[in-house]
Amino acid sequence: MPNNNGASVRIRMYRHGLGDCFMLTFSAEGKRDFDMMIDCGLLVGTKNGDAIMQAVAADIKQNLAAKEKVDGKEPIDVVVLTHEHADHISGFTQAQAIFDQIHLGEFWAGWVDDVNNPNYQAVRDRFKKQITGLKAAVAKMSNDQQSLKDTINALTNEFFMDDVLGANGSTTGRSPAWDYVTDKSASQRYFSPGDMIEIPGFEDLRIYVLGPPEDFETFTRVDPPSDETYRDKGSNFTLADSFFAAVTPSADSLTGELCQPFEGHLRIEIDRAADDDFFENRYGFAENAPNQWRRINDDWLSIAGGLALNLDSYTNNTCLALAIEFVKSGKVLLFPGDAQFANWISWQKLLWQIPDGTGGKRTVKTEDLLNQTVFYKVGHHGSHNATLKTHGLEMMTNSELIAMIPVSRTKAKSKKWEMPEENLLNRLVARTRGRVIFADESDITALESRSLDPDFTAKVKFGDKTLVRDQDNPEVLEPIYVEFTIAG
Amino acid sequence: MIDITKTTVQIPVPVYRLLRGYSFDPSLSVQLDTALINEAVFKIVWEKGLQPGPVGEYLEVIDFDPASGCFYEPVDLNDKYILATDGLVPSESNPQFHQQMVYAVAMTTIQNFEKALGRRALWSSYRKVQSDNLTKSAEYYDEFYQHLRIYPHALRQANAYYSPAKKALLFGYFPASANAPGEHAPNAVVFTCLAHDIVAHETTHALLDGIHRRYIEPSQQDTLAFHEAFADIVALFQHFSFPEVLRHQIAKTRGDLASQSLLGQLAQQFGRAIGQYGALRDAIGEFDVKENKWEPKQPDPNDYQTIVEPHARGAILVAAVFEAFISIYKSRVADLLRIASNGTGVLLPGELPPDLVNRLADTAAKSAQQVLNMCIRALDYCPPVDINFGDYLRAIITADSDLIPDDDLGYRVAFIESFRRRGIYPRDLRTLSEDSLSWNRIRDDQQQFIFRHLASRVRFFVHQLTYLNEFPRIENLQDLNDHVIELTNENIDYLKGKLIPRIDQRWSEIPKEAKENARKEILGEGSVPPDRWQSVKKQNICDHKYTDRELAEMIIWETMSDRERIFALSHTAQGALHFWLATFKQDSNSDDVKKFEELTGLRFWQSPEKDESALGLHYKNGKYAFEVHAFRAARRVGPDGERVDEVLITITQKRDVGIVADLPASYYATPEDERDESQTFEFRGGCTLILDLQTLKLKYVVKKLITDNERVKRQREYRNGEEQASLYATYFGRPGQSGDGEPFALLHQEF
Repeated sequence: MPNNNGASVRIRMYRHGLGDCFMLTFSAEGKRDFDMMIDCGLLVGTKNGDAIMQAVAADIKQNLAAKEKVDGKEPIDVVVLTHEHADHISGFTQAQAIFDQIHLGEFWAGWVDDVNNPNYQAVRDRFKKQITGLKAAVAKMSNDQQSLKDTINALTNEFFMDDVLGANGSTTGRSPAWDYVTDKSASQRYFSPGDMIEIPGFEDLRIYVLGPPEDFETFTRVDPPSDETYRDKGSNFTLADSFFAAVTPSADSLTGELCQPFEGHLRIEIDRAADDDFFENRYGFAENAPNQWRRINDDWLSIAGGLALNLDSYTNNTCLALAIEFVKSGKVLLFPGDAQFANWISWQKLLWQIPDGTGGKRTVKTEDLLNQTVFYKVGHHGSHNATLKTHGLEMMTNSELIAMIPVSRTKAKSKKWEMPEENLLNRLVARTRGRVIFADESDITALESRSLDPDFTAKVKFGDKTLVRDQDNPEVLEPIYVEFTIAG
Repeated sequence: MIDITKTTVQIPVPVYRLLRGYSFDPSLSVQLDTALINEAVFKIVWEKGLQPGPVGEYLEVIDFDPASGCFYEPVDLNDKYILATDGLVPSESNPQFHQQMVYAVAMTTIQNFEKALGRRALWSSYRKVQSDNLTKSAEYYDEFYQHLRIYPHALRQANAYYSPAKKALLFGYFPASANAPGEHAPNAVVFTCLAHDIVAHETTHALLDGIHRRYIEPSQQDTLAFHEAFADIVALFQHFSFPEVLRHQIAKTRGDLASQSLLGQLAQQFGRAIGQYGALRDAIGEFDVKENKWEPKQPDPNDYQTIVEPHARGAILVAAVFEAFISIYKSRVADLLRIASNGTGVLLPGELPPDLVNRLADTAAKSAQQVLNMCIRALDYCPPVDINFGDYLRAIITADSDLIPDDDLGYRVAFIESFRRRGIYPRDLRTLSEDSLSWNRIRDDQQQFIFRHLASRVRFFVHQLTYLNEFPRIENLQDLNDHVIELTNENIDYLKGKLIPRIDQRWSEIPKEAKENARKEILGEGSVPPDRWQSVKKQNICDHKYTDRELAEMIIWETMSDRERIFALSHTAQGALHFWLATFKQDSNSDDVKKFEELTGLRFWQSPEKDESALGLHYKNGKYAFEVHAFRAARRVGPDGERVDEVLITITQKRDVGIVADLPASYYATPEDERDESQTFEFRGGCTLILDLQTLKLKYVVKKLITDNERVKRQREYRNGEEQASLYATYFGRPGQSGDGEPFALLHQEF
């Protein structure tokens, strides 16, 4: 219920599958509701995906019906796209016809997505280079490496590979969904860490920009050190230029030559080697020769799997991460997108100077915001490296903390992805005292058994049963969203 | 003029071939203070038939670089100029030197294994299906692989791994600037095949797989960690067994290896350019950037309980062995330091006298070699499956005390102490003393007649293994048949097939000339060669009638290499042991059977109450299925001349157990071929039996109970747990469980 003193927010998580779509509606006594969409997308290849996203968009539109129209359309005041992964933005193309009838107000994204940023082109070029290389590597793989190919394709499809390469006629090198929102929104704003956003008319709201990190190079740190994750594994990002030079030899012949380990006269090309007794007898070149299983023609390509992952993580680190604060109560909602380690850890050095209410200024640190967090949108569907430990969840000490995980465990399991990661989930459940809302739970039963707080479960509401997951079984209807309202 | 081609002086075949190489990796050659010690000369046993590649008895170096789309010419180490200069000069830009380097280091590692184990090294075999067109039946056989392949430039990445599926070592190279700027030129390439420790590490993976092929199955958190740690221990101590590596550094630090922890620092040094490998050594200590000083890491007794990631966990084991080594070194040089300091133990300032430096370096090198021997020898005393670090400590202690009863230099105490400091000890032990840690020696009242029977028959194979030239007459085993165990004629035929599998194919593969030579060698000039091995025509040679088939077998045997003969004999022995154990005539309730099962931890004979505790064990005709997993003869000589003649037999069994939870008995009531296999995983148990051939007694049984449901629970938790995972695993599956046959590729990869 709206609080007389300040604003309140209704957080609606759509239940469409493995992907993020959140509608935040801020209300305050005597004020027009303020609607903010954070992401709208679904994992590529989800069965019945277009119809599901159209149902989501239709539901969003319908819920805006009571609002005063802008240009004759229902308005969403702000659309936040955290990063350019299909499972966060695909809805705009899948349900474009419906979004055409919705007015998109401001578009918010991180500075890396700002064409006018001096580093923009460098970031895009890096993407392009890696995607070109990965594509070439996949093309070189043999049938024995089919499962690796599939996984890499699944990962890289998330980037709209063809669009980045311009193969679909994209002139921006961005995905159509992204272009759609930037074209159609009334204005675009790009934010840097340390920024603070105010919403006209909602003095009780203050939005702190946490990420993406200012420092271009920090994107490259993918995995956290062991004291910063609920798992232990450290890693360095290697650009592997020499690998890309090998899979795309024509791209840059100088690099290609420099990446060769030995001088040209020492090399014996494969067709020449095939005429040599030593190589013919020992290595063998014929198909189905008895010693074929010991050859290593394709093993070197397996590194592409890791590189695809790095690219994926890299994009996750470009996420616009926001902390939305209710000024009076100090309550904070945390929306980190899919930010990974580098993004999270960069927040720690941020400081904001804000009025202290007595005419002076006070300093807000990220730790303060984490301490005050009462709502956490779990990053990257609960994967192990998108929720920091010491400088993340362990700092969310507020006793009112609740969490939402936009995940489909069945889908993740079918892909063999560990989402949510078990140790993280256990810790989340402990921290929130069971107040964890899963997008894939269609009623209150599981939640009731997890949470011992009846006041909480009573406030969790499910939307109308209009979601058809399986077109073969259209009679099975599920609630299209789950929501929770927080009084500011 | 003397015609030198007609000289009558016979020059003996050299014992060793000397080959130069890097003692660390090339990056140290460009630093002034380490350039001197970065070159070592490897002493490799002279291989008679070494061919270009090098291709020798054990290794086959093939230099294919698929990323660059080319091959590099194989080095001929018998080239006279190369022979005259102790091999090619170490050089990063010469691929032929790279081939020489991998050959030299891998051979050194093989030699260390053979010396410590007292037998020839074999690579793991490949299980193949042989279908018989006549009987339409399929049968498994283990194919012998003579060569481990080495591809020095297989990958363009900061990775190197052993591929069990290809029986090959794959080494990568990568631009140095990516992760180790400063020590390399901007466009320099780092070659993993030029780092001694990496080559030794990967070769060790292959050698360990040849001994314990179940260790690559990640059954719980210690198994992959053990593979990693063991490979690192061998690399590390092999490194320190070169006195020249240590001399310079000992002089520099005035012999005080312990307090400066110089060896530890050295151990870490090589890893800098390689990234991931160095991380393992962090367990020993770390460089404090602020203090500009290397600090050894203090062990924490909780480490073993709390650290689970394979590399970090393996590092605990490496650190434990390393600390044991330091204590051993310290106690061994204490007298030297007293002599050099007039009894005060406090050395005078200034440089150490070169003689003292040499003695200290030699002692350190010798201690390293001994620690290395202890660590390798322990492998024979390890369980065949599901090893944990506590088992390994027990194996080290048992193996050492078996060979060297008197621990006057305190080696074993040093091991126990350093393992204890890291919390590594067996789960079921109350005290940590040498006595309690050593596997329990089987008492006389526990001996069983079955072992006496087995041991007396096993002598046949040990004899044959000792005299490999002698053709093994398997049918002679029937002379030993008695009322306890026997071999039928069918059994004998089967075993002959094990000795020389695919005989027709082999026969046709041997060139005519080789057959002819072999025939003359065995039968003398007068004999007639058999036309076809299948013929039953008999020839009388030296008062013995041989069928053509027998002659063919003898000729094939003659053309086999020693290592292949060892392989064939071991597999035949495994087959014979399987028959003997399977025909052991007892009923399931006899005391003997109970005792046997209690002693070995296996379940052989079915009974309802046993079924309860061993649900999921496969069975046939009232008996549970088992596999004689390995047969190894060991002849070792201790420092005081004690000879130990042992036979190690490992027997394993497997059960299908539920992945998520225990399955109801009804699951097992359905016939095996109708069960839903996706619900189960294979749980293995087994034992290593160590038989003393002199006394015909069972000495030790190292076992993992097949009925141990606590172990089932732990393996289940591990499989379902998250400890071992990474983001990479999230998408691509976990090492060893992804089914791609490359458990080590992932483990070493930088993701």
